[in-house]
Amino acid sequence: MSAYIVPALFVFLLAVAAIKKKNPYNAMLLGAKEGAASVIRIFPYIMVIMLALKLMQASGFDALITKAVSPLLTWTGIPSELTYLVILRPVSGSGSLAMLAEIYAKFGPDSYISRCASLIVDGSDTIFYMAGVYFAETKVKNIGVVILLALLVSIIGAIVGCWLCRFM
Amino acid sequence: MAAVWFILIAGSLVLMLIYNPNAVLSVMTTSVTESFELCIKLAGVYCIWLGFIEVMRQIGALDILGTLLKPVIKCLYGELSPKARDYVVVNMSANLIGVANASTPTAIGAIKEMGKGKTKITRAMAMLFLINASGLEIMPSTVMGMRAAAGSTSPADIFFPCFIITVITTGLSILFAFLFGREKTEKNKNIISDVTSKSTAKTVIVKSEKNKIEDLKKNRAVIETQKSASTLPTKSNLATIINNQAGSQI
Repeated sequence: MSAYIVPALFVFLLAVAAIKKKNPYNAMLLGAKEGAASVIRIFPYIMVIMLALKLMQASGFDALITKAVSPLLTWTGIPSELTYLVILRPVSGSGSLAMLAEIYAKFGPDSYISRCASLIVDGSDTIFYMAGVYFAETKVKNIGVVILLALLVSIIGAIVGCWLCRFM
Repeated sequence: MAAVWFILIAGSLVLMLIYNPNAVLSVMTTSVTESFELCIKLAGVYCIWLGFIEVMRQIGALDILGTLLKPVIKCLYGELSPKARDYVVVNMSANLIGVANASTPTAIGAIKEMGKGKTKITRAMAMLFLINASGLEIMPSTVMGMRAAAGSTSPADIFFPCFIITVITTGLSILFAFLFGREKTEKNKNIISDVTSKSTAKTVIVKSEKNKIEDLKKNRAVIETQKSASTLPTKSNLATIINNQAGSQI
């Protein structure tokens, strides 16, 4: 079903543009200009986060953090096997999806841990990356507050999700 | 953000200095290459979506969506500039139909428009960021697809818990965004600047009218002196008349 949405939308838009005698050629040109400029402007913001992520993984610092945070998260009801996923989720989208696939393979997709992992991945997003990229083209300085709020929301989502999985 | 980043980088570097000093530079340069690759992948998504959004704007589809979503936008975001509203409309629709790819470029555009001339975060910006950061998605298509690929007996039974979590996280995000103050002063400022710019525009018009009248008077005077000198203008007289008229037109 969802596979049809995007192509159908594109065909529909082109058809309406043809009927209304508008010029999609120029529109695509404008979009591409904006898109290319945008990507170049956000590159440094993506780079600094990627740098921190890769250094963290290469040095084993991530394992230390996981060890330190694990008791706290286990106390809130999140299984200790998923502590690393909770930490990775706001930093790396592809990384957390790869980890989700690993968890599915290890515990089986219908197990309690896998269902908790699904909810943790689905109920949050790559907060650090988004904060860098979203505010890249503004002069806004105080984004730390919204990052904290977003992290708080996703932790609450993860805790409630693991609790829900016990009887759903 | 900067503090967290510093702790992560410094901690990792110290650890690597102790255990694996050879890899430091190669890890750092690879991470830059990887982020460049990610940007190139993003360029594909951004250019295609922003192009189709421009098509939507030109055929008036955004205005229709804007009117449909107007009550929701007004309640969540307050007053927005037309351009920011267009981006917010597409961002909301993308989240609702589950096209996550389209939501990032539109959110960047919207926050850019909202943040013009501002150094502090506003409610509208916080709202957009928090809603998007909470992973708003009606249909958890990625997770369901991965469950199916891993051999789940019923991949879709995650839908209901996912829906509950989405309602909770999005609700909390909206609640938190309302902690940020509405910008009333900004609006008043706009009105004042509007009024002053209008009044200056009026004085400019009045001035230019006065100048025109004076020019016309001059021209008439020149023509009349020429008329009195000779009924037919000579070559040099004609040139001055043409020059004067050209001047008045400019």
